[in-house]
Amino acid sequence: MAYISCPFCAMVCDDLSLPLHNRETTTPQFGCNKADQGFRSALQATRQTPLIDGEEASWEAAMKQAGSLLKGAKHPLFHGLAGDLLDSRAAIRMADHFGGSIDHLHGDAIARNLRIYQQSGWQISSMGEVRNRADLVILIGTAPEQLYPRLREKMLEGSERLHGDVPPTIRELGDDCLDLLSIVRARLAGKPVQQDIADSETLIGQINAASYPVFVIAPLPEQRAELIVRTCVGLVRDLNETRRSALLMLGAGDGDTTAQLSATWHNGFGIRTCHAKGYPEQDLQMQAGDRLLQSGEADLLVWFSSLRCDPPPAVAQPTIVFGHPAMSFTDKPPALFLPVAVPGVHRRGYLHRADGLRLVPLPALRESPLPDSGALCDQLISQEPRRC
Amino acid sequence: MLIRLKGAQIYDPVNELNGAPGDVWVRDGYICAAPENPAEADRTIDLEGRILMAGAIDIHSHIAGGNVNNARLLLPEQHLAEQARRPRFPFSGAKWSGSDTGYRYAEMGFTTVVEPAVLPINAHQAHAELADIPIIDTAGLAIVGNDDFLLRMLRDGAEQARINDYIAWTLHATQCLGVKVINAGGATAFKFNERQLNLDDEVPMYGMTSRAILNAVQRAVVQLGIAHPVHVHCNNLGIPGNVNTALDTIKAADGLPMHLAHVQFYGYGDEGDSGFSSGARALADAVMANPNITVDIGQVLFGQTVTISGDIMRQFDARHIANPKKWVVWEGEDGGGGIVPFRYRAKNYVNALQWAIGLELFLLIDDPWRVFFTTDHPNGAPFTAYPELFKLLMDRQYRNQWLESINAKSADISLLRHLEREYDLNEIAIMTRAAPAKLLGLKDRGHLSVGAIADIAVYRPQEDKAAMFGNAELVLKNGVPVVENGRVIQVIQGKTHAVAPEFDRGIESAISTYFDRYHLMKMDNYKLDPQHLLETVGSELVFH
Ligand code: SF4
Repeated sequence: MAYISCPFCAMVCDDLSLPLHNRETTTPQFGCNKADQGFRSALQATRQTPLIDGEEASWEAAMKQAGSLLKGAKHPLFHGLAGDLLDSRAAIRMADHFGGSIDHLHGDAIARNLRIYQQSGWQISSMGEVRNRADLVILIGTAPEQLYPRLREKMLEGSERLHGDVPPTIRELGDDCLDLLSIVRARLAGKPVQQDIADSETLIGQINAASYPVFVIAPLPEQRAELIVRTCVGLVRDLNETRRSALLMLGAGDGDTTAQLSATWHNGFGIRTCHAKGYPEQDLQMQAGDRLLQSGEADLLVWFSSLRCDPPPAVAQPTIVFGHPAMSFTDKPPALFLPVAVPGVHRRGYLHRADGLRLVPLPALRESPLPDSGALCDQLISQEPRRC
Repeated sequence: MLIRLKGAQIYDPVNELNGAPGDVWVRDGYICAAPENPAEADRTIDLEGRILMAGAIDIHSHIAGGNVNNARLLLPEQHLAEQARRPRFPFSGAKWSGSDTGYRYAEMGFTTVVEPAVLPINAHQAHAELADIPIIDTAGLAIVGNDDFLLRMLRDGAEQARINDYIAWTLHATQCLGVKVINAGGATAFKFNERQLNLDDEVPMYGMTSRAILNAVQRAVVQLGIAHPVHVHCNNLGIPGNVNTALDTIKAADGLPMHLAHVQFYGYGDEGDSGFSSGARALADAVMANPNITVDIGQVLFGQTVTISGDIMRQFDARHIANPKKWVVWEGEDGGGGIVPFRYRAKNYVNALQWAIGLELFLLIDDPWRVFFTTDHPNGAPFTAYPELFKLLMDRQYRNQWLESINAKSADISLLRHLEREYDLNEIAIMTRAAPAKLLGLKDRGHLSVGAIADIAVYRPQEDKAAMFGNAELVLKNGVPVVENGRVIQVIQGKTHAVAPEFDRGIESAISTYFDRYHLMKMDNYKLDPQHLLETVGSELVFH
């Protein structure tokens, strides 16, 4: 039995099975709604030809158009990056070649976590370590089971574990837990607190009783996220002075971890890096994709989205989309739409699991005439030699 | 294409050429015999007065994988770009990127580099990164010794033959060239809140010692016939008095081949008022007395760097000396590690002594076939500081100048003042070419015999050895000129080397069941598929 990996959420489960005779099916059932939907829309997608201003065009004409848009742009922005390793590599290489900036759809969250990381570092765990060793999971975030449908099944509820056979206690804190966490941190450090919360006693009790409490942080609303993450980083650091504890940051998916990590080994810094001066410069605020678009500093949007069907943001700039073949446009179509292979469906690829420790191989489920963004990128780079 | 490299002084210890002038011929990527008629050459490069060696090989340099990449993210201030990208050279303005790693190594005449710490679960990323390093060939060493499957086998008294199958399977799964043990059992003990593990301490829950793990892996490597001996990061790294750990580990090798990595970090005595002294003499004597032992140094050079290690105990312990004050510690399947930035200062007693201990070891171990040139990049210093290290080894006067400016107490107690030895070019060629190729089992390189890969470095002789080795005048990779006058002139794709020892595939059913019971991944997807790697990230594997 060959197993299929699923690229449609940050879990990147690699244990889906599709009976071989069913490879041609367009309505797979994997027992995970998100996976079913992701595979279905990719398998049912029929678009194979590019669109120039919404009109079907040949690949030759489309690539010529892409080349001239890129050549004419002073500051292209390579954004979205909702794809796998090959997609993000293509975007990063194009940013280096054409002198543009890169960002990810979830750039705000990536940048916020990176800022915290770069200021202090942190102590983290992996999905497998939580699966096997955590005896208390403090789950922080908004509806994580919607974001990662199989989180519990795969990571939190396994009864066969390396150490012991009882799944961890799960303490769900949602996303409104800053006060509670701050009080717990202060009390554990023996500091006075002005106002306590009843819940703090129980949480402290749970933490004290655990031998490996792990703070699992799923995506949070932006206005609360920074302080919650910082508090957890500090709490974990304090606890480790005498015992064990760790954080586990789970990304939002859509290739966020892959984009960040692969950008890092290519340009040294990761996303929100600008190559316009010929060398990479990272600025987590100034290079935010949305800001570059709103301010007009970026004059071309190049949107990569091989995993998601939603259209790119509506912006004033001309837009080139390297997109999922089922992408549709209700408003104005982009200047150029290039349908590309969906990784894990139309072509092989790689995608990082949510903790970044593991790059999961994605198989190809069926033959497809769709090009991958890497091949298009190579063509554009060789067709338009670099200006400087 | 037939290239004649004409008239250089050739240093090729394997063929006992020690500076004799001569020609080297290259055809289609390999070194070939001289044709009867020299006029057949398509291209002749006149190298009279130049020094020619095989391309250099680095056996221990952290150039890829999650730990390295997260260190890049942690320290953007350390690699701000200084110059713009050169046209035709992607990411050439991106310091400490994968591309930069390939370019800088090539410019110094290095053509093969080994990443010594590939955590199996992270092997796909490590290989994807290696594939993005241009020009040089690469290889990885797979980390074992904290893997629960192995520890369970040992606890359950598995036969050595099964251990061998498992080690071979790990190499197959990770497509690596050898195996590495980091503080055997240490990461596991850390997960039980132990903060130190000695060679004879028991690993909690498994009831066996660090020594037993090490021995089992070492025997497996020997019995499987893997050329590269078990690559060992000992227990107690960085702790005063740990020279005894290194000496015990040498004894534990029991005459079988073993490579001790970055021994500078184990050359520490605990004598004197500060409780920190040089153990270099004892360690060097032990290495000299045990021909089964090879070592690399992990030289410290002064300046800012970052320590990156799979030794989670050590990195956790070092968090308080982080400079700048930020650190990362992580735990993952079958291991863990940490990233701790550090600045080595010449006026600091301990740092200056570390610097001296490394050099003492280099100079006291009088067998360039068994001591290897490394800074444990970036732990002791970034590899870009290699020219400085060549100069220190080859120029006694230069060492003495340094002794005047480092911490005076360290300079006083160091043996360095009394060591007159200077490495000569033949010894450099052994230590950085012939010996590493032999140690890694890469028979096709490290020498200039007919049939060898045409990896060649040419230097202009100079009094200043840092200048000489910092910028090769000409470098050929697979017969292609890639560097001229110290600058990359052409980008080609390197290959990644691995071994494929035979094993009983029957072990896969046990491993697969184990994965299904305990992990979030399937065994089949955990294993690297060379074809998948080639098709997706363009990584070409070569098996030995
Ligand atoms: S949980 Fe996520 S990765 Fe797993 S099958 Fe569902 S959508 Fe796919």
